[in-house]
Amino acid sequence: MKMKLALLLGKLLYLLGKPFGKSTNLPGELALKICPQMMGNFRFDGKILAVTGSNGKTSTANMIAYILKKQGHSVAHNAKGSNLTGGVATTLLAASTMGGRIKQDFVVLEVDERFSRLIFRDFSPDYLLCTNLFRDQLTRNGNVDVIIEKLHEAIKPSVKLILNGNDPISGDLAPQNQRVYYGLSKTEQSSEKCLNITHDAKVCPRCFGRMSYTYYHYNHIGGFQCSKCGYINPQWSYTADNVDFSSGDFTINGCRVHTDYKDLFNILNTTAAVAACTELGLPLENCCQAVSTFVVLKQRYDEFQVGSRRAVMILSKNQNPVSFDQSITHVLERDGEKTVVVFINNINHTGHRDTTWLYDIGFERLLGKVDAVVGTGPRAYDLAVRLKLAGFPPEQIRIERDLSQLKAVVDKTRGDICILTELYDAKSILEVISK
Amino acid sequence: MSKVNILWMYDDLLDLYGDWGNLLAVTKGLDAMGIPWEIDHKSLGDQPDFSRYQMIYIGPGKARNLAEAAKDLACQKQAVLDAVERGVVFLATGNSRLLFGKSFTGADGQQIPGIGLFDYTGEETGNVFISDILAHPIFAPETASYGFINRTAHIHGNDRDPLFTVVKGAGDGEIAGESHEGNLYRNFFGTWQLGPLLVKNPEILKELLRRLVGEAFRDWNTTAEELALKLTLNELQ
Repeated sequence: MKMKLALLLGKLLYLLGKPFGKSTNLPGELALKICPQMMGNFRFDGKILAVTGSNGKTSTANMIAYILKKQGHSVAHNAKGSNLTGGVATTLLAASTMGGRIKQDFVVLEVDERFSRLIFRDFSPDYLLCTNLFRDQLTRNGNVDVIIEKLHEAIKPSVKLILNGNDPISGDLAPQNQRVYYGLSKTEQSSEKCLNITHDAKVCPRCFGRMSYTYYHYNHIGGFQCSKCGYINPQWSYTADNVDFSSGDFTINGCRVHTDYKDLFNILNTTAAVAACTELGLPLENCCQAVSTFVVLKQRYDEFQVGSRRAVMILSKNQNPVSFDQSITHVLERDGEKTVVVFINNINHTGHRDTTWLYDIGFERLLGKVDAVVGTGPRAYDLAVRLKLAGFPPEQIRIERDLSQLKAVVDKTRGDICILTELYDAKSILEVISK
Repeated sequence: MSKVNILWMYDDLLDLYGDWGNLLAVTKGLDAMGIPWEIDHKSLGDQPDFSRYQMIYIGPGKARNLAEAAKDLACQKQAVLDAVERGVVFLATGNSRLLFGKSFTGADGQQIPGIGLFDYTGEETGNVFISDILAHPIFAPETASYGFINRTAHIHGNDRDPLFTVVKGAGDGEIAGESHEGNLYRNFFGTWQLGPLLVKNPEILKELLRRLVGEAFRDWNTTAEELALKLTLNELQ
């Protein structure tokens, strides 16, 4: 009875909120208040795949849903990155019949790694894909070990894992579970030394021995081996290789794939998506063909014109150094003169004034590559100090703490405008810059 | 001054949260004074020769890693205590402080011995505690400092040789209005405060460097750092 009422009111709220974009979390939250066991009461006709990890889970889950749909399957999917309990509940109740049956061929759920144990308290996915694990917003998450503990509580013995064979940390999740690995062979853009400051696997996650790397794709993702216990990249079932960075073509198990978004982490995410869909039973060739027409969410990487200058909005997550390092990689890949605009806020959700996380980001990589770095936002002067210590000459550091005055400062710089910020602040910056 | 030798202990094991910025600030300060420096990295099983170093830095780490570091440091207990007594400059930030107390209890309930430089004991609780801290360093009571605490461990019984008098935010006891945080004993600086502490507080950096290089100390321009600190303090005061 409670289940019926939860579904009815949840669906009603979902339909009413939809035109206003207010239907991602609330309906699920309300339904769970009415029927706390709702998630356990659904009956699934198809397979459930969950996607989690520190970075790239939204893109990867979106790619998976895209491939499945393109191959003619029906898919229930929390497309907007609404990956907490309310968002997942909303997705399921919207897909469900009034009888609690979810008829879709596949359910693809992006799941926040911290909330996974709550989301999967009453039901379990058949497959779990973990893209990677990094330090991320330490004020909220605790460290990587804390996240692994939470994931271990969420992963039931029956779950088949799809794991990143380039990541010594997430690759070692729930060792007793059945698993399949994907990985990316060394490319011409991989490096012998770690180009980033953030490196969460300097010691072996199994035995604390010093890790050695034959190559790095980025941060601690690459070709690793422990000097003490011998822990080494596992055998991959899905191998990305032959990356041509000019065309954006590469292969997965010999099958051609194309992407316009040629960063190593995106190639890995694409490989993860193809691996997941193949595990779900689709032919590899079809998955590779389908994913080649996928377009990265505009919201996260958007190009536009400001007067006579090109501008690009590159979103990352605040206090997530790996995500920020990737934004820097985007900047470096652009040809020609450019200026970087960075918005530095206080700590999300708590408002604390800490800026320690700026020292986990390799701003040094931008040295000599940009006309100027413009800092704005409440902690803009802390960015100025970070840039000074990185070695930027004073004339290349431009600070305007007041966002509303930013345009005048940006107008005095040269080249393409690369805006590095997070989703929360993107809109206000866009309004100011494009005035 | 010929050269400053710095030892970054457990750089691979205890490296959690941008805290290495403290070392960046130290080396940039030495650069500004024209003093050459070198950083050595030593970790588990390396048994460093402490007599070679004028400064030793240990940063915060994950609970599991900290327990490993504690076991390793126990083998070098006397050498570390002797180095502190000799006046070697130490900077221990975040949960690495636990290594220097009597003992601490890990997340699994296991009791891990510290080297006993201080009388406090520690406890890993698993609960995240965060706080902005407005304080005065003991050696400069007129100077306002900023730091950020982010910890899941707590220490009890730290009632000797504080580094800070806390004005706002919680001290070592986590009781609002409690007055002390950290330790300063001889040239050992220990604190939960991140920021990174020495980047965020040029006065503390300069005090540490005065102790490190003695008469070779020369003041340098830290206007940018002072401005960033002032804006933060304005919001807290």
